[in-house]
Amino acid sequence: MEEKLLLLIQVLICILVMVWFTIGFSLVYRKIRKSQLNRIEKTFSREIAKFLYPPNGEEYHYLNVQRALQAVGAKPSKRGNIQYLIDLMIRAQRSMLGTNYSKLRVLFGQIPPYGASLSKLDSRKWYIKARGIREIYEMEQVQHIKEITRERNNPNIFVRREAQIAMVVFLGWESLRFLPYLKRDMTLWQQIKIVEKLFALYPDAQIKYLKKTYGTQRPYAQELLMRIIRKFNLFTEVDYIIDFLDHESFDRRETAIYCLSSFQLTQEQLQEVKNKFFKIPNTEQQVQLLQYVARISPEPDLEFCNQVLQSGNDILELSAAEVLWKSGHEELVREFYYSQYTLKEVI
Amino acid sequence: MTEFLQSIYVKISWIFFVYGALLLTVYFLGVILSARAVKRNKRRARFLEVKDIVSATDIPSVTLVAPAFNEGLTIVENVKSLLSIQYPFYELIVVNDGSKDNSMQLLIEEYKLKPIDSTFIVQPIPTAMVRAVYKSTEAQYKHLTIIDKNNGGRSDAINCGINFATTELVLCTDADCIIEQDAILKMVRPYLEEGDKEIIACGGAIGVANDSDIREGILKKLRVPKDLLTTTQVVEYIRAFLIGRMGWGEVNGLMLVSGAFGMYPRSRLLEVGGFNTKTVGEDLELCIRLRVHMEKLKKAYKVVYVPETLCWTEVPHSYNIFVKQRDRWARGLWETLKLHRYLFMNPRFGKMGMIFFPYWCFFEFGAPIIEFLGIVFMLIFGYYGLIDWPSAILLFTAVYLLGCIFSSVAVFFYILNFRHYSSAKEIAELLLAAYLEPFLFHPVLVFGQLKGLYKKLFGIKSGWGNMTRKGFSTKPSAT
Amino acid sequence: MAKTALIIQQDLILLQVLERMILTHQYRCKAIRALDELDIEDQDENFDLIISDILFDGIAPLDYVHQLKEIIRHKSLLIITSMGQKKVRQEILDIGNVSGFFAIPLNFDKVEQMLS
Repeated sequence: MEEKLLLLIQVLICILVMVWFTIGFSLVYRKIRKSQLNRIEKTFSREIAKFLYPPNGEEYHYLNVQRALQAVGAKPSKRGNIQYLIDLMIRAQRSMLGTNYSKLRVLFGQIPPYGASLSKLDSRKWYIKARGIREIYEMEQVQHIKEITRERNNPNIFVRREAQIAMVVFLGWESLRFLPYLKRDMTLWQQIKIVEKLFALYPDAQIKYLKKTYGTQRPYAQELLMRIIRKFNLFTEVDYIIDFLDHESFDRRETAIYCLSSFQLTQEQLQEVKNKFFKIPNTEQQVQLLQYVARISPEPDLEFCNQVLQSGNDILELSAAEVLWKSGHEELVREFYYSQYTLKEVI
Repeated sequence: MTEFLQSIYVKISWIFFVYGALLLTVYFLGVILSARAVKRNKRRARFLEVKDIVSATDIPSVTLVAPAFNEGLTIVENVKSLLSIQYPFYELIVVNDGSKDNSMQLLIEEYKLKPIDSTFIVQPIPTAMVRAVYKSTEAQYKHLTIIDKNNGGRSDAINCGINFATTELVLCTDADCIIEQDAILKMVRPYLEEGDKEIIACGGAIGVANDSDIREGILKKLRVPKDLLTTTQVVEYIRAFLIGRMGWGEVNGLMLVSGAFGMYPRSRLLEVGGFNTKTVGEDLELCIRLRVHMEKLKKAYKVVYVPETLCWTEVPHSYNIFVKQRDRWARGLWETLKLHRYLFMNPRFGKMGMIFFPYWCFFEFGAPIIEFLGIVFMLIFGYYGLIDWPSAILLFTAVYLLGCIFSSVAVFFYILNFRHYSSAKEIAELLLAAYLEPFLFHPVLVFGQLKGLYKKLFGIKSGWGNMTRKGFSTKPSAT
Repeated sequence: MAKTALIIQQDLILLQVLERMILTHQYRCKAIRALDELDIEDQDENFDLIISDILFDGIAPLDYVHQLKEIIRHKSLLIITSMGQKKVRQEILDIGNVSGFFAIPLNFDKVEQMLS
């Protein structure tokens, strides 16, 4: 027994010493790596700035940029550095629009990341594949759209998200032919990115594609469509959002209320909203809707507010009372509460 | 007699051995699961960086609720620091929980506060009376709301803040915690990537900021604390958050989101009635209640954890205060486990009933009791000469080395993934504290826990107690 | 006398590009990444132009814009930030003293138009 324990102790001491060495090595490596990456970033920033705004007004040749980057280690033999360079290039492109964006595109086409992005699509590791897709659409390499579209239903959420975003980047509004009919649900972030990319790259709404998807029953697709309507301020399509106000799903209602809040409504639409108000099974959402109605109505609908006052729900009562009070109908509020008191006395 | 004692000794030894082996297995699994989770989290984070979130629209709105009680010395700075958190759809509610000092006056002067009309206050969760609600007259403080209410305790104050919040998510913390500037951007990630399982609670790691360089409510330079007690708590927190929480998060077994830093969907908080005001373990109790609620609704859910230190706090710097804290935590644990004892081995609640809750009963609650009994039996059997001392010492050494390895691995994960504690000296100090922990820290910890359990067993009343703090030393910046 | 400009941007790429752009417009330019890098001389300077982000450690965006006019004298303030939602934009402009608000991704042509 003692011998076995002694052996165990020796093994454990070896493991502990190995952990110490690993910690020590990690500390040193990180320091060195961090300074390498900082150097690459500084050089990249300086060179890009010179390229976009050349000194003395003369053209700054792309070879100067390439040489400077190679001098700090961004060369084919150092894959880690190349990857970092690609990340910097994407970061630079994503922070600029207009003439500078076009210039950078030209530059990055001339100092390519050595074919790294396409080869990543063949990787079995999700994070490499997803990164490859992202690089392709950020660098607008539209020639690879076919390979990317194949991944739109990939079991890994990050791969398929990047593929779906790529479809929007390359196809624009036409991607709505596919996106509402995917096998798997879309997360909130996917929806946000798709809407953002659509808005940034294709700001002119093509409603015909939108209308064709209204029949979808996929929950995520319905939310996505509502967000698109809101982002593009498509007031002609507000009825689609209003339909979801009394949906059985809490999330659908939540999205509908949020998206609706950007719009001013017609009288008919406002009436529709009020009709749906009492069918909403969640008090907090009803309060949000009530506050929205009050905000967009120049004058409060006294009949509607009275109905809410009489709803029997304390929270709704107070909210309706606040709306009436703040719009100058204190008398109505007082009358209601006095009648409550009288009733309680009788009881 | 000797034979009888011998047989008892063998049986009891086996019980302790099995308990110890099970606990080690859980720790070992925790290390593997957390390693996997941290690696995966790092890779995922590259696809959802904070700079993407900060510029996005349609992201969830967040209210940070911070209760404050007698924080007059630092309240102005604390609020300023909390206001500086970077998130586009963010509100801050500070709840003055009946402070007896001049906290309110200081806030009113500094932030040009004026009471707003609170005639129609809606309180879905009942709380102590709200005296007034204040908003600033200055445009730069439009996201700040101060609620002045009668004292009702920390839970009551947070519930009051939840009532007044109008956002989708609520982040609960303490007014004297230092929150990282991008904390909300990181905490919101799980909600943005929520799939078929609803996120009902999200926690972040809490770090120890004692003796660090804090300026204007920002942690400028993190330092390893100067004394051994505090340094050991740094290692303890690293182990608990990085290995423990991350590991449990991987199997959706997280039963605790720290009250000092936890984010919840407001709608779910209202459904369950907010924090329990009758227990001192309100954070654990809320998390369990939320899980039970979702189990009853038969909805898929997750309690997740962001493995980054997003909140910095001051831990007890003296043994006396440390014991009081652990005493309180033990009492909170007792109260919560007792309140939810119906979960124990209840298949109706799935893995929570069959695995996670029993784990908390046997290993979190039971550990100090088993340790205490272990010492007692060792003394008894030692007196009767039944213990093979050479083997016992070797076994103790082996277990001690295992503990050292776990702590070293936890420290290694931490420095590998995060930028804190980057110098060799700091790492050496942390490791030394971890290796001395079983001798200088652990016995005091067990004493504190047993004290708490003793109080509950014999009905000795005790509340939160006073945690005297040194306070973060603050120096004004050059600007 | 050459005009003076101060650029405060955390992102190094943006900082360098903005700095070169400003220099081509015949400004004397100081470019820093954080408020800590401001020194006493900067506070005495009356900058013709400040181009700044609003996301800094330790100070709320709205508070920063409000305080900037008191801390550093300047004639014109342009905000360039990644937190460029409509709501944030409106809040910043409501503080006053802001000549322009640009969200990232940034169209440099529009900034140059403002300069000229």
